[in-house]
Amino acid sequence: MKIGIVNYGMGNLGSVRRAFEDLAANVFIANHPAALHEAHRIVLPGVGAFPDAMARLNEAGWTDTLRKLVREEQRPLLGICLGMQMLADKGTEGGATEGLGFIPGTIRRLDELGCTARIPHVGWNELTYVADDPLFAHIPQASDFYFVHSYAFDAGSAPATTGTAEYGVRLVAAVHSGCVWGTQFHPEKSSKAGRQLLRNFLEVRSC
Amino acid sequence: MLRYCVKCVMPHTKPDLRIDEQGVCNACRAYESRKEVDWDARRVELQKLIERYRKPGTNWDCIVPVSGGKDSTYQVIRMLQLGMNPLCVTATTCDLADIGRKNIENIKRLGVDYVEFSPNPRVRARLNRLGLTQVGDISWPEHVGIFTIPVRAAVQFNVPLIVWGENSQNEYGGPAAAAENNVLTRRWLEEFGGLLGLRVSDLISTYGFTARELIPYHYPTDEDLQRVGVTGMFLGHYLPWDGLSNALIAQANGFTSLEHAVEGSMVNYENLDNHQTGIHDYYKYLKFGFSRATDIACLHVRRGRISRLDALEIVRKRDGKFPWSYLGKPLADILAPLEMSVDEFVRVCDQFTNKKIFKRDADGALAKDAHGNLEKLNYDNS
Repeated sequence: MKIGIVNYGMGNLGSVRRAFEDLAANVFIANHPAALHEAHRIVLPGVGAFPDAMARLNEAGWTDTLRKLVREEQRPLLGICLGMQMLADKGTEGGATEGLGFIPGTIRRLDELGCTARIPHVGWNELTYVADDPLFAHIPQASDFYFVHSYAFDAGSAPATTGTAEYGVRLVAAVHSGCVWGTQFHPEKSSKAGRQLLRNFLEVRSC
Repeated sequence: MLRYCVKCVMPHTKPDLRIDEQGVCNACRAYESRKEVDWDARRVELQKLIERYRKPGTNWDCIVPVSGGKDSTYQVIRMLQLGMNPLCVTATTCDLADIGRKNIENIKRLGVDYVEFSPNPRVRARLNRLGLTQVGDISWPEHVGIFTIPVRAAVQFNVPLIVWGENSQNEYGGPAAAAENNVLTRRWLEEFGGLLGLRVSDLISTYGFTARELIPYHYPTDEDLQRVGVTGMFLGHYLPWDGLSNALIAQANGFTSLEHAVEGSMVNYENLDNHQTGIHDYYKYLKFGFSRATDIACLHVRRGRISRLDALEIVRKRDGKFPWSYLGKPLADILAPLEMSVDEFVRVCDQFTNKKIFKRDADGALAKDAHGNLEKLNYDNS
């Protein structure tokens, strides 16, 4: 089984790849959309701004390929941080931008979501998750994961929420719909629990 | 509770660190595999690469970003030994210490051309305050500028090759990652450059800065980088990197060390250039339960110079002490440009402290000794 990491010119490719290599997974960096067809599982990483990242996905043809592979061929996809946010219908950073539309919801700045703590949210934080999501198998409730973000899913419009964290507000930390998963935190930076989560993603049944 | 690597003394809370089933962290594993690196072959690679960029006196051969520290002194020495004519570029630190200035002057006297770029100190003081209160990094503008300014200089002076020192990820990467371990790109900066989720664009949209105040903190455009052909390489990929031997070589070439160990660490040869470094390192302790003494102890444990037991004792003695002074400058004076009192500083510290790893009193408040020092719940695995 091959894991393809989407290289659209932004993002935490290096540490994501290293984390999968540590699990002895057959992982590769897809440098253009055609290369992604070989992937049995897809990882969409991300660090940066929503509109810039979507522009890169659109211009290089990633958006069409991802929609085809995920919607028509049901290949499991994991979005991490900004990669999770781009799964949404739209983002609000620097004006409204259309997202990939895999998970219903809108991305808003944390203070717009009612967060009273300082922004960005950086550091370890406890995750509360829905017990039956396969992504959280063998991970104890309230495990710590590493977060770095200023925007998040608007929970009111995100029925696919599978995990939350408390940070001046209850924020959406994980989503799941069909064969698409997303984590607001960085599993590749999150020690033992993060490692288990990535291992779980390798083992989710195709959907 | 903190879980520590059983070979070194690094706790699991360091982001990106992985501790395997045997209890050993990936940095220790990566160091073991370094023995497989063919350093002779790497040196030949370096020679070849450098030949490609050497010019017949029409322009500088490379840019060497220099802080004035032991590592940058070493980089300049190596480039001169290889017959290169570097242009050395300093992005002035946020609060330069006298000994740091002395060591910058020493670098010039090694026999190089040199430019220093100092961003607007008033803007910087506001950025220091924002960095400290929002992401817990007082020297955030420095941590951006040390990457953006040399790259801007490369574009400005039309010098394509930038010779960086160590890839800070190297100590943590295995052989599989080594292929990309020799270059520094915009993406490396975004991923590992320590921006902590605070982006330069946020400063304008959210925190009331203007574009004209932030020019030095912008990475050049892709077009500019392509036009000049800017390539950043890490010297640590080609030559085995060791802080202590770099310090010895630097000292033999006029570098000045401190007469005593630096506050919060057990060595006298590094982090001598910025009075804010004590605060920076203290915040790492508050967030993750380890600081500079742990970093240095781990490096020396892996290289077989001290035992793990010695390292534990050193860490307990030196790591994470409240930063009352750094390089002799009192905390109140270091905070003055930020318009922050020591009391306010302590409140900000408490907000950033990971309450799960430090002792608390009966009321749940952080327990501190008479000097304001915290105590970790555990200093080893048992």
